[in-house]
This record gives sequence, structure tokens and C-alpha cells, in this order.
Amino acid sequence: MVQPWTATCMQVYTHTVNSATTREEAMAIVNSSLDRWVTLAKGTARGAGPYVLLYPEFALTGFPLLETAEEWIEKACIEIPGPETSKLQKAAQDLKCYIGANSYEKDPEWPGRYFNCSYLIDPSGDVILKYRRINTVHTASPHDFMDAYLDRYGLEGTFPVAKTPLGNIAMMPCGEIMYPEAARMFMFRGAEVLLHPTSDHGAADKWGWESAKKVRASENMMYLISTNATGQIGTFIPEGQTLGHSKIIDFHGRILADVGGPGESTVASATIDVEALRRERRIPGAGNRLLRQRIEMYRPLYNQSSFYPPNAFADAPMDSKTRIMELQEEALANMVEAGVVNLPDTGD
Amino acid sequence: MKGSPMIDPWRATCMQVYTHILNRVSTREDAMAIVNKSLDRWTELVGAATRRDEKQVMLFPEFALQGFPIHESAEEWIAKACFQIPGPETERLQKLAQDNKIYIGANSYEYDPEWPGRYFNTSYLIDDTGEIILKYRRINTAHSASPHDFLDKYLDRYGIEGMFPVAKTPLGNIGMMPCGEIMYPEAARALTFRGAEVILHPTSDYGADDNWSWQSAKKVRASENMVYLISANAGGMPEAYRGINDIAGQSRIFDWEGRVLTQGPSPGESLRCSALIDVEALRRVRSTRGGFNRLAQARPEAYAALYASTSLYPVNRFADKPMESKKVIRELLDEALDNMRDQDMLPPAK
Repeated sequence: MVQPWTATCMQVYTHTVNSATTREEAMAIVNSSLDRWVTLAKGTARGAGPYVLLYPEFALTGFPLLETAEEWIEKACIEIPGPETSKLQKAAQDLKCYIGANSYEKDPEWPGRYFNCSYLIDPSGDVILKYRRINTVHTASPHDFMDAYLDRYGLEGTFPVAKTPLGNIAMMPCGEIMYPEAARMFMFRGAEVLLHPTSDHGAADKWGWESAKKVRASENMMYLISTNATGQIGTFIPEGQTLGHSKIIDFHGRILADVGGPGESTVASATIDVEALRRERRIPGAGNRLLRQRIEMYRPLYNQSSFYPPNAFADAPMDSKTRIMELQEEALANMVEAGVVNLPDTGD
Repeated sequence: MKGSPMIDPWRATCMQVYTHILNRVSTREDAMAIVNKSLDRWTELVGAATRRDEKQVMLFPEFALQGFPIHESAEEWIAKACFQIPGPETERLQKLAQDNKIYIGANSYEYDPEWPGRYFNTSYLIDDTGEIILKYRRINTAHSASPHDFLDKYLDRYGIEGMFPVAKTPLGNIGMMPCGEIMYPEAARALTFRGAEVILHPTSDYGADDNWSWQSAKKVRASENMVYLISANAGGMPEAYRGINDIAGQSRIFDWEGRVLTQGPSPGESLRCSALIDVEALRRVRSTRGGFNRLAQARPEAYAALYASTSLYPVNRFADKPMESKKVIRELLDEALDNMRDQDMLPPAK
């Protein structure tokens, strides 16, 4: 039996490091944020546990803007586990709670590369899960050296699911919510709870983004805990692009808790009942979306569909984000060739 | 690269009609009398919705001429209710399309002499000359057999192109997918990978509320695939055994960013859900680089391996002979449950 537990969205400000010129300056900002995070964790995980506390996507640094890959790694990326995560690991240990977060990671095993990495720390302070974002917006991804990556980590390591006393937990950040395959993989791998650290619009349903959170939860019959940041401070991007509204959604897509606005907040907090989810998943019938999946039908198309070029940075890491636009040009040309995209009539 | 020929905006209309079910009659003659009476009404409504100055697609709801099998065995349902497509019943729709120079999308339970003993939930599109130019048979069925139940043979016969058909028309590339397939992201994805720019979604769902996030899913399929989604729901089932308004209208049309362009009332018969579809605008957005282009950034290769190694609902179970009765489905769902346990998606049975 899994006892019900409490999930809390730690909706915090993202103090960016883009304006910092040295790693020292950047890490001063990171450490100041971490101090605040630990204070908030102490204030939160003191009721009836167990607790899972989830922080937003890249909320310790923001994301690379004008920096090259080399500069971003040097200035802003952290090792996981490493000196910076140790503060969170200690907090998890002290408070006997789980802490989920997301940071830009450097890994000595992959020199010259950085990852958008979601990670989960258990109550003993260990990092028990690391997932590296695949559907990146304007950075490299494991898909850019997919063969080497799969070879190294296997499907288990590429799409990790942590089997914990609280149920099977997976993580997936931000914009991956718009790619149905991402959440699907974790369901296939057994996930019952999906932690979604994000840095998104939050407030409006632009692109059906907020609806997508509900739909991923329902189509995969999993809990979805989505913590959004509230404002990225210190860049040329308006702070209000990231507007909170962190929320917790159940396996039918029902909203259990919602901050309902921007601002630093831990108001989105709800009881997660994994046994109830297991019961729903076990009931055969038209309502059970999982049982009726006819996956084999789609294999041939997934096997033959290829647009964005895989393994584009297999031999050498991406040096600068400007390369991504060239790859998108290639993806578009591939889609035009496959008949997926028709170019508009330009009158030529 | 040179662009495709210009497509002028055209009008999509959701034909939100009542579904008069065939379950309460026992002979084909009685059943076809009901079908023809519905078709009389459909003819009136098409006349009312036709505009001389616009190209139009009119979409009717899922199985809106028949309802769905309830107590009937497969054999009984085929004998009493199923159509050949094309066939005598669709001929009336084909003539309507031809006479009014419009496209008509619909969905019916189909019988195909090539597959004796089987019936299909078939979505079909009739062009403005009266030809049936697309037939798609539902894969994610709720409680009926599906092409997945004899996948190897089906794929062998029709290929990927025939399993996931997309019609290249002067209005753009059109795919179809009914009702509950909206909850399976792979269904719309497959049509997108095959080039669909517009997905017609004949449905028979709650319509009114967001149970299971079903309404949100319509929005999300449109946006994640950057397609127009035209979703025509039935306005009610006046002779239903269950709640007449368990099916409650609110047909909707979405653009490629998931915005609701228009919606019909809930419940009831209505032609109010109608909007202009601008395929050129969609093509412009799809062919622009940037963080918002969900298609250009999709990385399907990353997922192929897990799709290849995961199996839930058992495949090819009615390969040798058709499903006789819906009761067998329950056993297959139990097997799917065992598969979930085996693949660690559920704790082992106690």
C-alpha cells in the first residue's frame, strides 16, 4: 500500500545569471536563491508528510541567451550531484522529504555539452533520478547524439522512472508538455506521477499549453505536478512572460490545486493518492485509456518518420545556439519533402 | 523552394444533428426507414447551410445515422445496421455533395464484403463531385473490434497510406479521426506525419463538460500538431437508453494554435458552429522557423524504440476470424491488464 502524500509546488522567482560575467558572480546568485529555497522548504514540509516539493525549471540560473555553449557551461552549469545541489540534498535529508528540481547541467563524461536536467532527491539526500530534456527549444539535446546516448544509458536511463515508496515517479520539464510522446514514454516505463518543473506562460492558454497539462495527465492516467516560476528577474525578457499558476492535476485531468496567479507561493499543494490511481488503472472498461492502447498500429509510422535531423552533434558538441536555426531549416526541408509541410503560395 | 498553389479560405460547418439510433428495431427494413428519415433531415440542413459564394466542408457527427451496437452481436449489427461505403445510403450524401458542390464528411458503421463478418467504424469524405475520396477506419475503438485486431493482414492490404489516409484536395490535406481517438495522441500524430493540415473529427461525446479533459484534448491535438480541427458532435440521442443528452453538442472548430474559432450550443440541433479555414495561414506558420514551430522541432526518432518494445492491448486477436460479440473484448482488456503488470505499469496482482 502507498499511503497518500502531499505534493507542493514551490513557485519561486528565477534570479537569472545572464548578466553575471564570472562563475563566481553567477554562483553567488545561485546560492542566494538556494538559501531562499531552503527557507521555503522548511516552512512547507512540516505538516503531515510525506512531502514532495517541486521547484520550477532552471530556476537557479535562467537559460542561456547570448552565451555560447562554452561560456554557459563555464559560468552557469552545475554538476548533479555537485556542490550546489548538496544544499538541496541536505534539506531533503533534514526535512525527510523528496525534492524535485531542474538545472542546466555539465557532465565531465560529455565535455563541451550541457543538459537541461530534471532531478529528484529522496529523503536520504540521494539524487535518485536524472532526466535530460529531449524536446529542447534552442539548445542541444540527447537526440543530437542519440546513438551514443542510448548506447550509454539504455532506454531505462534515457527515460528514467524512480520506483519509490510514494509510487513510480518520473520528470519532464516545460515545453515537453507540447510533445505527447514525451509523457507517453514515462507511462510506458511505469510512471504514476509526473513532476513537471516548468517556466512557461502559466496564465493564458496560449497554444493550449495549460490544457496540455490536463490532457497529458488524463491520456496517461497519471498525476501531474506542474511548478512554474513566477518571473525571470534580470534579463531583457519581460518578467511577466513567466506568470506562475503552478498546478496539480489528477489522473482524469482534474485540477486539484492551482496558485491562481503569479508571485512567490506554495499555495498549490494537494494530497496525491497513488492507490486510487492504481484502482482506476485496474478497472477494465471504456474509461480505461491505458488498457485500450493499440500501440502496434503506430510503430511503422514512428519507425519511418524523421524530420529534425538526429545525431547532428554526434561528433562535436553544439558550439552556439545559432546552429539550431540551420537544423530547423533542415527539418523543414525534410517535412516539405515528406509532404508534411506545404509551403505557402508566395506568388513566385 | 516554390510554394504550392494558393488556397482561398473556405468554410467549415459542423452539422450538429440528433442521432436516431437503430437499436430499438430488429429488421434492416425498419432500420433503413430510420436512416432514410435522418437523411431527409440532413438534406434539408445541407440546403440551409449551403452558400453559393464559398467552398464548403460540412461535417456530420460520428455514427449519427445509426448509433452504436449495444445488445446486438456482430452478425446482427452487420445485417441490420451497417452500410457499404460507397453504397445505397451514402449515395444520398454523395448526390447532396454533388448537387450543392460541397465536401461532406461523415462517419458510419461499415460492412465491407472483402472482410466478411467484420464491421468498421468508418469516417469518410465525399468531394464536391460526389466521389468518396477518403475512408479511415477507427483504430482505438471503445468496445468493438478494430483493424488492430487483424493488423498484419490489414497493413498488408492497405499499407500505411491506406491505414492513415490523408486526402490531398484543393482545400488542403485532410485527414479524419472520430470521437474517442482524441484521447490517443498517436492517432492525430499519425495523420500529421502523413501530411494532414485539417483533421475532421466526427464525434459522439459529452460535449458540454471537460470530463477526462476530453474537450481540452481537442484543443491540444490541434495545437501540438499545428492542424485545424473541426469537431462535429451530435446534439443528442432522442431514443437513447441512457441519458438523451449524455451526448450534448457543443461542436467546435479550432485553429492550429488551439484557439476556439466557433462553437455550437449544448445540446440540440444546430448549424451555428461554422468558421472560415485559412490553410495558407497555417502553411505560413508551419514553414517559419522558431521556438513556436512544434512540428519542425519534433524528434520522433527518440521515441521509436519504446513504441517498438511496448505492447498493451493484445494485437491480431481476430486475425483468423472476426469478433462475434462485444463480450470477448472484456477478456482482451483483462489481458491488457496483465500486460501492464508484466511491464511494471501496475503492481502485481495480489
